[in-house]
Amino acid sequence: MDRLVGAFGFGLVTASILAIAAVAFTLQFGITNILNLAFGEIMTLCAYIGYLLNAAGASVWLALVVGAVAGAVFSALLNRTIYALFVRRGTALWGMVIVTIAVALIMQNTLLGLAGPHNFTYTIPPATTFRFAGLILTSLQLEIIGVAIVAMLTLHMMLRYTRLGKAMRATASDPALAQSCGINASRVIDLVWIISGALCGIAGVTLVMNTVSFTASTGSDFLVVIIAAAIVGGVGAPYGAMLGALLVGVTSEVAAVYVNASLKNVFAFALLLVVLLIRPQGFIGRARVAKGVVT
Amino acid sequence: MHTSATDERRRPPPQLVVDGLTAGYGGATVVDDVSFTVGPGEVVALLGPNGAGKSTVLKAMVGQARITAGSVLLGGIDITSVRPHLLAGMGCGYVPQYRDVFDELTVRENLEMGGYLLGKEAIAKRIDDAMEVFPALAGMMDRPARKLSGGEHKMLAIARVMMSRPTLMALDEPTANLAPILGRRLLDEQIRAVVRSGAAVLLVEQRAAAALSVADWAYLLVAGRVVRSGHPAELRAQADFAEVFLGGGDATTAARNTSDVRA
Ligand SMILES: Nc1ncnc2c1ncn2[C@@H]1O[C@H](COP(=O)(O)OP(=O)(O)O)[C@@H](O)[C@H]1O
Ligand SMILES: [Mg+2]
Repeated sequence: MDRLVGAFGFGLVTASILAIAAVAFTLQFGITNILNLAFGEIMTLCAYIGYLLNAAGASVWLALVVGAVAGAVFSALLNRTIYALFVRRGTALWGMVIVTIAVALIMQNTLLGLAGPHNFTYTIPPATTFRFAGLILTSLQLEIIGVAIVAMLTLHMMLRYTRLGKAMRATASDPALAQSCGINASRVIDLVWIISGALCGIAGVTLVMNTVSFTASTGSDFLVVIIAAAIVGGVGAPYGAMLGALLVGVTSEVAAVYVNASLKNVFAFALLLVVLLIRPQGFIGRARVAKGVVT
Repeated sequence: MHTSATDERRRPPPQLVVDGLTAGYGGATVVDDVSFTVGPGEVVALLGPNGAGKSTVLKAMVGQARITAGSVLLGGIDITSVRPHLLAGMGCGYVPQYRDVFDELTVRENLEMGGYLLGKEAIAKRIDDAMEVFPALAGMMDRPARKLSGGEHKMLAIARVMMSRPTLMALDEPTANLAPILGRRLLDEQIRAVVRSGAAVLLVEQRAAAALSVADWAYLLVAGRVVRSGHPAELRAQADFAEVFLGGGDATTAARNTSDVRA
């Protein structure tokens, strides 16, 4: 029983990081219609920038903030300089997937070339351990959960209640109609890349804060889990991605404790297959995946 | 083209002037050298069989089809190559034939998007006004638009465009998916309300009889060209027009029958 509760605690931390990443990934697809498979590499890039700062003496929290800014700037630039170019030429969904894979490969190999095939570790001050209701979590893990909760709540408030958030959902629903209402869709899409890019950077830094060490492929290894969470929740549905992250995160950590740590992704994907069999559109998605719509 | 010069002179000075519009998609030309005008407070019907290019005329006006020749003037300002998202601010309101509301947004959010360029207070006030014109919407403000019935859906689409108080309202077959009675009421009551606000209304319809009953002027588009225009009474009186477009016959076969009318 203790082991289960303990694993559940780890699962919550994984789920928190996963939620930040999956929501950002699904937001990009839902609003801009680009399935950005370079997402994992941007996470790694931000984690690495954070690492350089941290190694130079900055705190992990400063690394987190800088990672977020780097993710926002890099994602927006990536869209402006590369993705938008192909979209304007009429490249369709699957063509864009290939473009994003190309970007991912270029980025990963560039990172590998620049940083070398090493394991990098953040220097984190010794953490206090908290115990309650059987859960054992370090202060750092609690802080990561806190970051995720704040990020999700902020995003929720923005999408539901602000003028920009509604314009984002309107653009996702129908870009042409949004434009005829006076919404500058291309500006809205820039902002989506900035916001989702910041979340991507936060996910990258928190991911490596929570692991012993990372390499140039840590982000792309995590991407398959992100995609699993996004699909379980329903692609393009941010609330679905949050739910998917919780399910995938907790399932994989519990499986890691009870079965074998190296098999945790096996369980995450088994869950994915089961969900897809029962609800092909995911938990929240309403079978509008091809349209890529944010609810 | 048959046009009565005396009637034409009684029309108000135009708010919308479409002159020699040639437009289509990619390399294909769908509408060719189309010219018409709509005055403030006027309902102008653009009639024609399915596939004639009516929707393409509207899409070209709002920047969703490619214009290769001609011009569109709104209130004397050339909007031919204005970027689409700037048109709303220039007084252009457009209700597309399909996908005319944001399905994922609630009724209230749809109206808010219609008033996207307005301040908070103006939006609140105009939502109240919209609920007066469309009382049926008042009880469903927080419902997602995709859950509305056909009639409610169209009302929302029109209410959404009215939020910005456009000086031109282009409506693409607003009655197409409605029961005849509902369609009639929409034209007789709500469209009339728009006109009273002084807007120029361009009404695309396949159902000629209903459209002519509210229109002040009408143009007939066949195979991408305006083949005749006139006062509704005058068009109704033309035996061949009445037979083909008002006789309840199939408008698509009518297209072929009318091609000889091109003068
Ligand atoms: N997006 C599009 N791309 C290519 N061709 C189109 C498109 N939309 C319409 N068309 C073609 O343009 C012609 C006129 O269509 P449309 O303007 O919708 O006619 P109407 O509204 O009078 O029924 C049709 O032959 C149609 O196939
Ligand atoms: Mg049409």
